[in-house]
Amino acid sequence: MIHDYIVVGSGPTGAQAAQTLVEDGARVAMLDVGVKDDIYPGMVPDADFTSIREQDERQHRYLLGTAFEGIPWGGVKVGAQLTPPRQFMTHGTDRWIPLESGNFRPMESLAYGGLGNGWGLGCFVFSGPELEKAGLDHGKMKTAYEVISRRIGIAAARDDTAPYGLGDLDCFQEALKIDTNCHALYEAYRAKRGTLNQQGFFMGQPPMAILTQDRGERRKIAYKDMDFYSDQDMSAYRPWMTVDDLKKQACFSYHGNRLVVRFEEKEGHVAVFVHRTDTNEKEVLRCRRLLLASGVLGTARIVLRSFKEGRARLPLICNHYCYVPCLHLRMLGQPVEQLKTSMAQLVLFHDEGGAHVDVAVASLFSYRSLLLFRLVKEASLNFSDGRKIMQYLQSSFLIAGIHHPDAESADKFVELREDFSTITRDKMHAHYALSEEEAKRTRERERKFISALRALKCIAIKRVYPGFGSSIHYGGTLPYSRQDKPYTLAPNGRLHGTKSVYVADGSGFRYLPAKGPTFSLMANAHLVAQNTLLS
Amino acid sequence: MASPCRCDKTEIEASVPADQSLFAEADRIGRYLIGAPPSSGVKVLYAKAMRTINIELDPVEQRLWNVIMHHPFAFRIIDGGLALVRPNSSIRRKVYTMLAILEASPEYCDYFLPQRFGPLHMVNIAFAGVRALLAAVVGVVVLKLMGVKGQ
Repeated sequence: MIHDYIVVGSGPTGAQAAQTLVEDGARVAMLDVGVKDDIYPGMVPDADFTSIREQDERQHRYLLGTAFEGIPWGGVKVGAQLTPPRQFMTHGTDRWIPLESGNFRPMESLAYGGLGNGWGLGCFVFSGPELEKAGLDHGKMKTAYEVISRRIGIAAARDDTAPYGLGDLDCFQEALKIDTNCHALYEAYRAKRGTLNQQGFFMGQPPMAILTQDRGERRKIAYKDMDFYSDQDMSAYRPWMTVDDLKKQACFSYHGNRLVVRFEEKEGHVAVFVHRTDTNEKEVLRCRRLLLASGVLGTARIVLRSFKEGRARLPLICNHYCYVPCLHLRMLGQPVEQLKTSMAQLVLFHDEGGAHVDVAVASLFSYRSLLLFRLVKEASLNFSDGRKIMQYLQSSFLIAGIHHPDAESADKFVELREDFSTITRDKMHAHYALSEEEAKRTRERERKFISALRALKCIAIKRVYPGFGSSIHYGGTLPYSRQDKPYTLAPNGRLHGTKSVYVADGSGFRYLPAKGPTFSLMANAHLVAQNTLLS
Repeated sequence: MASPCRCDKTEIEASVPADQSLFAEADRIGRYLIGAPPSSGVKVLYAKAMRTINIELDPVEQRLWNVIMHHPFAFRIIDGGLALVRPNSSIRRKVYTMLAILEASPEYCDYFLPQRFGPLHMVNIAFAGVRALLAAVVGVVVLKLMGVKGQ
């Protein structure tokens, strides 16, 4: 049997690409490892965080984990922020898609719904100059953003940050409510707006893939502050929802437990070589068009194995990231409302040149549902007094997650090396280092963010660097190119050197703006799927 | 809401002898962290966590642990010193695990949830801050005298 289309991966890009194909009436098979959580579903009660904390005797099972895996110890690690019910996202990656690096620690996922299970839900539109730098078509992306917005549902406000985050997007629901802590900060910003704007700082609410009005089976947000633990009410969009819906369509078939290893183009079809993760058997499936959407690093592995000269070194880009715990002095000793969201409530853009490119961004979170003991550990005090002090300070904590834009350079790359100890007999190696100039610019930028926050009575305690790769925003391994060069993509997403293989994830992005790329990745996946239909 | 915790007295009585020493540990750490003995449910959970995580103390840490278990007043000083000298020590990990367990137990949620604090409480916090600093300074000196080296 030859499938019309095979889509590899069920994450944000795979789900959206598949939906575009299915909506056009195409017959689509999705290949996915599809790891699911078999411990926590149904365990988290349908209640708000405070009520749970006050009443549920069994809360330790999902707050700390049934094997206490939610009590992280040691240095800051990528993925340490994942709560026990979200940790299934990374299960199996060491075994099936190993990666070695001395300085790059990415998070990858083989889960049903991919990294979308832990997505921070920010839906940022790239500006014209950013799209151009990334190698994307401004006009087409504008339409694609609207399509994705209608599909997933976005809550947003047209405020000072609209030119940076919302663009011309028309279709959105009313913005989320913000809590007392963030509201006080926003009021402080409004009072000092003129000065801050002159310095290139703009604050507002981030567009979020969360419903503020009911939509079908999905309920509007109930502000339970349990967003890091469960998807109950389905108010937050997750890609598995799209795949679940697609499974109801006759022209769509989902094939789990399939790790795609490589492909070969044959006369009239593409052979897709698969390793079954349940039986360890090998399979070959056939299709007329292949869409790779297995994440930047996953797609790089498949492509490198599929070309004879597969030992190439591919470029890699990734938003470097640090987070800054801050004390918001106005909130000292103040109570926190029972109902709030755990997700980012405000966003602070820094556009020094005013050109809407090379903009850095800080997402601002108030702290509660990730529990106090994690904060106490960061205090370097004895735990007894640390607990008392941190409990008092807790309501005034704001966490600023600062992301920086990134572009290709010689010191950032991945390559696949032979390794007979692994199942696929190879291992991805990554190297990522900032040039001196990049590092200096990054530090300087962070200093400016800290200074702007201080002006708003928000005092930074320290900068925490979880390491390169921790932003979970990757791109650029197969950059878009109009020239027919190996390991690049044509502007329509086709992999150069092939006739029928397309890449629908972020592998083609030549530049990663600091704002979260997931919304743009989904919009681009929609366009690539459209291009395969046209071809 | 889920049903009440089944970690009760019966479970403690039925526990293996090895658990009894873990319950004693839990009791000591609980008193140190919140100034009161933890409930039996919390002790059972602590014992389960210790069996699951399997935290091993090296000889130096074992010596410190013995001091803590026999001289509870030394807990804050040794913990404060370790926070600076050996922040990732196994002793700290034990205490940290207990802190997490206490936080995830409804009977102790008032020790962890954000509250409205009056001006008088600020004095209390300031006192805790000064005490923490003193404990850290004395702790570092004591650890040095005991020959504990940093990580």
